[in-house]
Amino acid sequence: MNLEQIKEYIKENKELSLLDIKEKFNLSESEIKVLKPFLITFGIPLKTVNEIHSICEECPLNNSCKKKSEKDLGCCN
Amino acid sequence: MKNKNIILLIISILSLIFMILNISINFFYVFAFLLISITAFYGFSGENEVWYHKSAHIMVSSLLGIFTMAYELLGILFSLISSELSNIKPNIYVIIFGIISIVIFIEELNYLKKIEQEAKRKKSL
Amino acid sequence: MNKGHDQSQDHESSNTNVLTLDTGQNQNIEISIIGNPNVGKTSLFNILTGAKQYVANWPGVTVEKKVGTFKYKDATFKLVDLPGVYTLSSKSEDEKVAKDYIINKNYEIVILVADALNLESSMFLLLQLLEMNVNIILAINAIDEAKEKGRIIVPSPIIKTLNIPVVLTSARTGEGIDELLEVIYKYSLSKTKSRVKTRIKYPPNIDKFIQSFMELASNYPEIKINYSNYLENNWLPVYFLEFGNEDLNLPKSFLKELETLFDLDNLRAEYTKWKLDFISYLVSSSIINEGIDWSLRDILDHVLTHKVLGILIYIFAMFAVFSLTFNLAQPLSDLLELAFTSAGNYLSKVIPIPWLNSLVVEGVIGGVGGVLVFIPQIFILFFFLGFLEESGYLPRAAFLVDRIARSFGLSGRSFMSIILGFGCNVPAIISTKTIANKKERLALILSLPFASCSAKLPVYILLIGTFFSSNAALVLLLIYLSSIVLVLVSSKFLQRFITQSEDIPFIIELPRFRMPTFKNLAIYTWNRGKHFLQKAGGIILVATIIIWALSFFPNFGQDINSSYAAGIGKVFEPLTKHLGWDWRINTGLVFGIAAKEVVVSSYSTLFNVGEGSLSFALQNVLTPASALALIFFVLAYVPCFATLATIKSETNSWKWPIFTLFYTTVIAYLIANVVFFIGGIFI
Ligand SMILES: Nc1nc2c(ncn2[C@@H]2O[C@H](COP(=O)(O)OP(=O)(O)O)[C@@H](O)[C@H]2O)c(=O)[nH]1
Ligand SMILES: [Mg+2]
Repeated sequence: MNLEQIKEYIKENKELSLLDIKEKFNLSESEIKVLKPFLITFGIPLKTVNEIHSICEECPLNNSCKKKSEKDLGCCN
Repeated sequence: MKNKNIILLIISILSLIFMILNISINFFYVFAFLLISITAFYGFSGENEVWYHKSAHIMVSSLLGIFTMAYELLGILFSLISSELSNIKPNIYVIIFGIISIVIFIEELNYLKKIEQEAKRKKSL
Repeated sequence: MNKGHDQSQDHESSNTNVLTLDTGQNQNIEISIIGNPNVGKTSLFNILTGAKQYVANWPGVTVEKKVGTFKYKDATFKLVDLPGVYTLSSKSEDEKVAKDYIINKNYEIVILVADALNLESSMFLLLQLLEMNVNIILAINAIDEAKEKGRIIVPSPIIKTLNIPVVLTSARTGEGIDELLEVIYKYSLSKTKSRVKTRIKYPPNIDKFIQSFMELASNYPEIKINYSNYLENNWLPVYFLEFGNEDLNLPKSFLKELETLFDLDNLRAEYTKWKLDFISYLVSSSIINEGIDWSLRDILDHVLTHKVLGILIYIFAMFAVFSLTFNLAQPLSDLLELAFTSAGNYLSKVIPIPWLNSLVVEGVIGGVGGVLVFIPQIFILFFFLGFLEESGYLPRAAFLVDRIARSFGLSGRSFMSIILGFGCNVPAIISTKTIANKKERLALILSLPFASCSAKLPVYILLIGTFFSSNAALVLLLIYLSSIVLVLVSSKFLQRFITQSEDIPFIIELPRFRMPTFKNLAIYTWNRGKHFLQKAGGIILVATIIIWALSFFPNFGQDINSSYAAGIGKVFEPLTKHLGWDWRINTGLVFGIAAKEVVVSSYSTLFNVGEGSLSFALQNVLTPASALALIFFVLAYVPCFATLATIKSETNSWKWPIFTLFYTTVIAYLIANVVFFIGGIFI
């Protein structure tokens, strides 16, 4: 695993999924998991789609939208 | 399945034929079969890509075939409920293709599982 | 796992501790839980503390702070649940909270929770905590799931190499919880001095750097004062090496001196490599994976996130959902319409007072009922959209759309906002908070009202069902795709006036696929559909009554063409006449500002259909081309009050909601004209 190369590749392509990197550099699932925090230290944030959960807290329609109470479901409308 | 090129060819040709057969019947199915055909065709390209490239295209195109059949079956189910029995005309092409897709999908999945087991055996040796 | 021969010693020391605990009342031993997101921190927290917990906020930020207490044997513990992080730096609010907490050292022990299935990702944090010389207990959680998936965790290499206690736990089955409690108890009572500290062995170059750094720093009194927390255990040089000077802001002269002594870039690379090798060693010695490295998820994603195929598959999925919506819902919708019509007929015979009769039959039943007949379509649509979302497919589509968005100058999370916008624009606008660039964010906020929210559905369904029933799904698909394009083009257009944004690269982690359960889908559908029903009983009802009143007065329903309602609509007639929209269409659009569904309910009232169908009445007034123009106008024009209010609160100024009001209307009018023109040629 060559961290410098991976870093360069991501910076060139701007927006990639973990799968893109895995396929490009022929990494195993385990290596990808090791890699994650390193990417963060390179200033490349890791975005998970689960982040939308936090939006619910601030949504003005919060009262009429019960989605946040079902934890395993997605988010509000 | 061993010979992936043949499977990909079967899927793409068959879906193309079914697409033509559906042209005067239902535009949605024309789109569906066209998409399946394109997905299978893409499987031929990219020899140098990851090892599961061909498997992936086989799996997804057959999955699309399965979903298209599910779409047809849902329609039939609903017209049964709303008791329009006379209106039920199952699209036989979609159902045939769906069944073929199920077979291909399961076969491919078993093939991948077999690879996994072989690799495990090699590891433990 | 810390079972050694010194157990008896521990016991003695615990006795003396009990005495001090008793005298110093409520002397809780503070411990905290840290770990990557989603590893089961909160689950373990809940198991340990039970009901004895409260929720607060960390000072200065909106990150939630959970605190609880629990007793074990004779000790009382205060437990703090930290936010989920991969590293301790200041890259995000969560990380800053966690870092500040850890660095201030007002606790005894930190429990690092790792997910057995993703143990690899926790190693970085583990090393960082060791570098900071924190007392760690490593809890490897979800061990039940690991066993199921054929993953074996061997803790001994970690225990030996790092000299920390390790417990295998499962918050689901309760496995290892007792052991964890015992380890916490023993570890907290063996006072700091008796704990063996791990010295991490760095490569010689790094050691030399740390030494020189500290020596140099001792000449700078301001470093001593400002970074006292970091200086303990030599963490400052390590942190500087890893994350640079961005959030440290060390004195410039100090940096200069440092740079003359070391090639920092090389050193940084060496340090990173050392860390990677160390972690790789730990991982390879402590995790045994049975089976090879393929997953169905990667195989499916290989095609589903393909640049061309992925988009086509997304279009196919939406096409399928819309077709199902129209095909399955139509019979049910017809049934409902029949029910409302007969209710109206019955009531019109029973109610003797003319104005009340008109209010109930034409206003309430005609208007609100006219919206409610679309319940089947709306619920069925939500059901299948729920399937796409719950199965984990939608994030993939969003990822692809976002890549396209990138070529429109949008970066960062624009895609999730657009997808959210299809449900409701309000949370979509709020979700733009994650976009760091202020101007780019503003452009997106002002463009998001073009995302076709679900309130517009009844209007589409009514008009599409009336004029394009043979290609209904296709037309709806066209509207949705146009909506996406409109958001993208609009934000590109607005950014032109705002300035270009810089592109920060990032990585997307896609969630797992899962088969949605029928129960989850039912809940999902109900929660969204309920919102529609509530609106029908609230704002739609009120707006409908107002419209009825405006159409009934001043001449008591004798001549609707000279009513107040007609007056409102006629103001706009010069602008809309060539599109084939008369005053009734315009009045409906005006009241649609309150809520988009009101467009439909007001048409029911204004066309005074009573017994006949609204579709029939509309067909007499509009041509297919003017109907299509109307659909696109509704897609783009003025967002509802809630959205405008959100724009105001998010931009902190009235300027932008007012701008949106005019901007969207002008764009909508332009599009309506273009569509009418093109539609006139083809239909
Ligand atoms: N199978 C299994 N699932 C777990 C375990 N602990 C937590 N989970 C699940 O993992 C998810 C995330 O848990 P949570 O406590 O919210 O994680 P946090 O983000 O670290 O606080 C939830 O859906 C839990 O039900 C465990 O020991 N075994
Ligand atoms: Mg949590």
